[in-house]
Amino acid sequence: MTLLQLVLNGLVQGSLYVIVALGLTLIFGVLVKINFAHAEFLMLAAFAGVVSIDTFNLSYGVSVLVATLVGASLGVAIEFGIFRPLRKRRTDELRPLVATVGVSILLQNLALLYFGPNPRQYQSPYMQKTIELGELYLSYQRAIVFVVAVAAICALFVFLRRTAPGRAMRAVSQDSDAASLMGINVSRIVLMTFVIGSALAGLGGGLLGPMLVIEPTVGANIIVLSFAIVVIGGFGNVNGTVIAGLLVGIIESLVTGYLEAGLSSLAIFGVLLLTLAVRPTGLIAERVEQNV
Amino acid sequence: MTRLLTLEGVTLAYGNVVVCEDITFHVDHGEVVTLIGSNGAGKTTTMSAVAGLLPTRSGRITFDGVDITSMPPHLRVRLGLSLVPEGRHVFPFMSVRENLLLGGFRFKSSPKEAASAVAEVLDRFPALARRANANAGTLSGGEQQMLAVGRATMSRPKLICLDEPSMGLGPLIVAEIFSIINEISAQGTTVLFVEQNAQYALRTAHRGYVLQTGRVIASGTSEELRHDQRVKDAYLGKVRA
Repeated sequence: MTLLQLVLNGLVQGSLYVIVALGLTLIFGVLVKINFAHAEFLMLAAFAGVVSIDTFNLSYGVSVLVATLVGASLGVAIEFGIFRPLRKRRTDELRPLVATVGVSILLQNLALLYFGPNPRQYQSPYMQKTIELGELYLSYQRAIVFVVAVAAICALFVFLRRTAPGRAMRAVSQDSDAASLMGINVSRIVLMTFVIGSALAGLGGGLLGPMLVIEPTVGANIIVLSFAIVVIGGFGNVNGTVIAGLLVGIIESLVTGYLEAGLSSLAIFGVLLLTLAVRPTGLIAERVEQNV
Repeated sequence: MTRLLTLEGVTLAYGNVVVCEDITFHVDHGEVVTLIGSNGAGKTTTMSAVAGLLPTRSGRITFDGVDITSMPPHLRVRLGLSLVPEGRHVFPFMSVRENLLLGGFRFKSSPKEAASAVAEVLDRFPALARRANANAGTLSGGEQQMLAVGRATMSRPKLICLDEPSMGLGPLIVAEIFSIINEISAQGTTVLFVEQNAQYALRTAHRGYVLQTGRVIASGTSEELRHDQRVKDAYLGKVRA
């Protein structure tokens, strides 16, 4: 494969990582909390996509919508079930974190119980057809994934930069007390963040699904990469996450193409360690130090 | 004159540590009232409770006839109560313009209306107009304080509360901030402010309350307080610290 082809593949894959990682980034940015069940949201959304095609004979496009809605609903559930009650009790920082690890294990095992250990195929009619652009090849599926992912990222940017609720979300992430003094209902913004962030995990599940085998642990691999991306991008920074996600996609593709697939994780986590050593704040540092 | 804000027997605590006890004071429509006292007297704690950032342990807070004792901060803003917090708390990674837009968040106004409200504030603060597109975190302390005040006026409050508006600022800027406070008052907004610098405070305010170790120990018109021995003590207390 040519260099250009590898970069293109990497960009497509990276755009998906960006979608999943942005969900984590938004939640971290606003709450300074990590949702470890994010991976399982992706997994359940992918299963929902599979079921809506296999059982309900829905089209692929509708199944992606279903996956996104499932993600969003899980976001609502974890905010009301875990994060909000723990916030009200003003517990320590670690408790919600540990609770989401519990939710993650619970959801994986529920999926195992319900869907069984056998991998399922997420059918998409666009996997076989290919677009040719001169020397470059791209399956329809990947083209769709890329277009939808880029559209979602652009929509998120417009939302955050140009709309009042988006601005309120950034305000909460920079200084939540000051945001409440502006008349912003911080609780509602947090809920909105969970809905958007988790919908992105669901969308990621729907888009990525056809390129994977769907099983209860399918989220785990992707989420580890997503965490790496979030850290490389500068914890909680949206621009940094986009750059880091695309970078990770391209590194993975180049290493797989020129060296060996098994080495790609090594390369990515090498970059992660390097980032932590050289620029511990990530590519773009935009978090507020505690103002006293 | 009618009461705009009243605190009756308010007790405030961080965890089990009681910081303010039995705080009672009021602010009438159109007044400029100051809370003075030395470091650690409980002024900022009291202001946090007025804005709703700190829950009230006991006692009652009413604003414009409404009991707001357990009302969350964002709803108090919608009633017309605005706080310029200690340390300014501008949104550092947003432009001056965006900070001002957030100040008017409660109106859910159209982009056009919002832009004209921002333009109005920028007109009043030429120093901010020059930096309108700069990130608030890059402004000087004085500019940030003006932004924080301008942002608070964006919600068109009935009562604007300022917590230590002069903190960390040079004398020229402090004079400017106090002239802004006078201007806000002249335009019909009621003002409550906390100040360590008792001289400045009593020159600007109509009335004042003196806080010491979490209690109101004196109150009166600015003229009366200027000659009060306890005020001189509180003021001296600040110098010693």
